[in-house]
Amino acid sequence: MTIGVVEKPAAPTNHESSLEEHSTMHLVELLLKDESRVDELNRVPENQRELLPRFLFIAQASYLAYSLIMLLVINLAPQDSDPDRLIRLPPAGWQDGSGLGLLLAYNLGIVLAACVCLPSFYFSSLLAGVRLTWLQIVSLIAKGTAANSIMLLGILPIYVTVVLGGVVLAAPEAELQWMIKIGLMLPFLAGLWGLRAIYEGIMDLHDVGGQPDCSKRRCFLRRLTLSWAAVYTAVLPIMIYRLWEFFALGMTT
Amino acid sequence: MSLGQLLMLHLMAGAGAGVAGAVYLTARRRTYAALWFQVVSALLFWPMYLPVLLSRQATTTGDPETGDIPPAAADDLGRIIAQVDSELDHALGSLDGWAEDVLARENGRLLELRSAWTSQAQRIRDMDRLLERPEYALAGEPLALPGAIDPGDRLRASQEVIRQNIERLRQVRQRTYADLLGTLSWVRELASMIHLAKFTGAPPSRAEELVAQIAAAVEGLSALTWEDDRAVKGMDWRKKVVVTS
Repeated sequence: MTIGVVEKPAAPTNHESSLEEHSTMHLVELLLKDESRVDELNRVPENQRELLPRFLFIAQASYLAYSLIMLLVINLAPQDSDPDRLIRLPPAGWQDGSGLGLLLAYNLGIVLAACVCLPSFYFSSLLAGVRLTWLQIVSLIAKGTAANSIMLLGILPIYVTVVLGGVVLAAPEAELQWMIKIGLMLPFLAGLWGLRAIYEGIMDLHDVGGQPDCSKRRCFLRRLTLSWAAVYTAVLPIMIYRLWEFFALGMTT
Repeated sequence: MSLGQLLMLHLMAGAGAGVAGAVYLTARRRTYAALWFQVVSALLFWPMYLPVLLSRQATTTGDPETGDIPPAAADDLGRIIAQVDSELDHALGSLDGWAEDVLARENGRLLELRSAWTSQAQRIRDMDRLLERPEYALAGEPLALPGAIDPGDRLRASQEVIRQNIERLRQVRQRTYADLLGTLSWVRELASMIHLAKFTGAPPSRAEELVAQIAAAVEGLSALTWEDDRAVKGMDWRKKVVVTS
């Protein structure tokens, strides 16, 4: 028995395959501290099936916390009395149940917008010559959404402190309304972190796939990620606004 | 609501329900909460789960594009691996409540061992396909030169090297096959020992020892890979010497 053959790189290594050891909370920690390890886990197809619901859970739990806090902030601030304001927010009250619209809009909208954009992500990467499977794209987007939601939770305490300060110190109504709008845009700010996570994931797949390391290619992948982000950023606000409006009006009528 | 909107809603709801049902049937049941989260999220976000379901099917049926053959492939080697895999699963499953800690510890290496079998079987299939090619099946046959041209010593030497290399490749194939079967037999023996140990009241440490031995089989395979690499390098070197002399 002197000659045997095993293609080690093709097999998931001990390190890669040990997803069982990671609880969802540990995954959150890894997303913050050791993202390359998450990419390592996420690159194994068997793990992708396990990780997708966990990423979704992290995103949904975080967005639920975020939207609850935003609902609280909106109800604490004085009502918008200017009818000529450029963007008027749909109602989000405790009493009439329209606040549920805000919760549902953010929790559903974030993932539904990604679902709407998936075919575009897939076909644009195929047209660009990047050989990503649909599952790889889904797992990358899910990881990006989870990373984004964790960052959002990180920013939230700072934002809440500022807004509560404004409420307590009786800041002018117009300023508070702007603060609320900035708060509603926080997912987009945190989205930059998610975008970075997606880019890192793509680069990881690119490097592991044994593609030639050429700076032109890297630049191209960066542009591809940015174009994905542009599509998503265009779809997401409309999706959230329409869902919020739909659910809020549905609750009040 | 117009008829078009109603139809669209109906289709979307149907797709969501279909994907959620499929997720329910195929999901690994860890906890009910996790299962229900998957089902509800699949109902709402079914486009995210659809690739997961489709890829699961692709894995179990093999990928014709890449030529990957699933473990339970229709050839003899695939069937043997599937059988040993199932016996190993059964043996490891019997550790529940007796020595389950060792499973958590060795899980990574056991997964690695299983994929090593599959890789090795695939390698054997690849070698078989190569050796069946006409140019290698007739290795050693002289080149069909036009007319009465004398091939000369250089061509004859080259022909001899090709024949030797093909012969060496055949030996590598035979030994790889024998090694794989040897490892599979060894794992079967150890799996049966786990059953025996359990029903003869052996202490959990005995089970741990047996599982560790099974997991250690992968290290043996890794060591052999290095040996193989060295052998191949040796062959390349020898070939260069013959060609340049």
